[in-house]
Amino acid sequence: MIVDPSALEAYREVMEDEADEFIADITSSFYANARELFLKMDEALAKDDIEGFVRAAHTFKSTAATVGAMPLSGLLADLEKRGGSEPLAGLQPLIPPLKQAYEEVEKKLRELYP
Amino acid sequence: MLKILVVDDEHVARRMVEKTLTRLGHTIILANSGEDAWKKMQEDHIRFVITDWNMPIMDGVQLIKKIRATTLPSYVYAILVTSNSKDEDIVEGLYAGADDYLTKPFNPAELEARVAVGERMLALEDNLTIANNQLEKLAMVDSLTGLLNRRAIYKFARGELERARRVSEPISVIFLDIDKFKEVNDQHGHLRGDEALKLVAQIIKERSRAYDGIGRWAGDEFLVVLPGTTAENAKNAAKRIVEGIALIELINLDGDIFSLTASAGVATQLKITGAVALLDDIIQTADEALYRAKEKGGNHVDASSL
Repeated sequence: MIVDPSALEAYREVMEDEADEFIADITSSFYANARELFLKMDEALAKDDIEGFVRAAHTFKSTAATVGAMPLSGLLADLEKRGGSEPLAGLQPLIPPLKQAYEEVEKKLRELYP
Repeated sequence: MLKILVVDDEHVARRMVEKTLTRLGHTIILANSGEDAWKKMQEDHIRFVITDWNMPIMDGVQLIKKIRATTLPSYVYAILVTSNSKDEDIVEGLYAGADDYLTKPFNPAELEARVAVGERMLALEDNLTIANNQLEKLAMVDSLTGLLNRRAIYKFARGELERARRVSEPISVIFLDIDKFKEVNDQHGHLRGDEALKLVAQIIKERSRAYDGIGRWAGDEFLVVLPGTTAENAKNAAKRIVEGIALIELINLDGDIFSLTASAGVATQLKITGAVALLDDIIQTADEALYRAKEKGGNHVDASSL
């Protein structure tokens, strides 16, 4: 499952009438954040900034999990781990598939919460 | 309802916590870093913190350690938010001082429940503080007269003596007791005796200044500590109290009116020269003056200076 809908649906019970507005707020924050974090990861890779890379992957990992994108979160957890132990240059090829995975998540979320 | 400081460098997570808790009626203060959180804690009285672990510069664990190492007005309940990284060991977080933790992603129901636990803990702390304050007050107050008890007036006198030495001011004490109090008890009963003690306490209070310390020393003995007071002024104060006590009228079991008198000994420490002035010496001197006043037939004031 690209996106587990129960993650955001859990807020429906708590938020009641404000749920739609809240979920829209969270998903749009997520899209904006994702763009920012991809930029940071690209930048960090270009500058061989290990700390910056690991931090961006870490933040992205938990944001992805928050919206229920568990496979994406898993990819990021792997990148976070490998960023701390392997040369960054070797991780470059993993970025395009990550972006691909993200696009699918965004598409799915937009379907679920238009 | 609580004031909760939510610390996370990640916008989405911060927003989720804020929304969930605002709906419950809590007031949320947001911080986007450990340093920002610490700054906000200086500006505001915050007792509840939910902090993310992984943040640049000051992380959540460092923030909690800082909170625990600082003397704050009251206990701060801290929930640490982790996201299952290899370098985030929850055991370490708890030892650092976190009270509880949440693992990202957490659902809102769990967040609510954990906050409720914290709320219970803080309520317990509040009750404990109230009980402690009450106990402290009880431990200092004489229950019959409402004056300071012996221990408390002694402590007050010691503090004032130290202050008098520092500022080179005189200090006086009045040692007072009711004349023939045993007879009051024997003739009119202990209830009337207790009433007499309460009235005497009231007279002393009315005829003293707000910054004088008044205590029940023992039985029918009272000690008044008069900071910054010369021998003459203290003697006048004692006379006013003794005169006031002579005006007290009580009704005995037969419906007849009876009155009381008291005697007082005053001691004044004019200038404290040595490093330590002995409080016991001053009280002893006042007690001796009281003895002389009694020998003169009671209803009398005698004074000495040291």
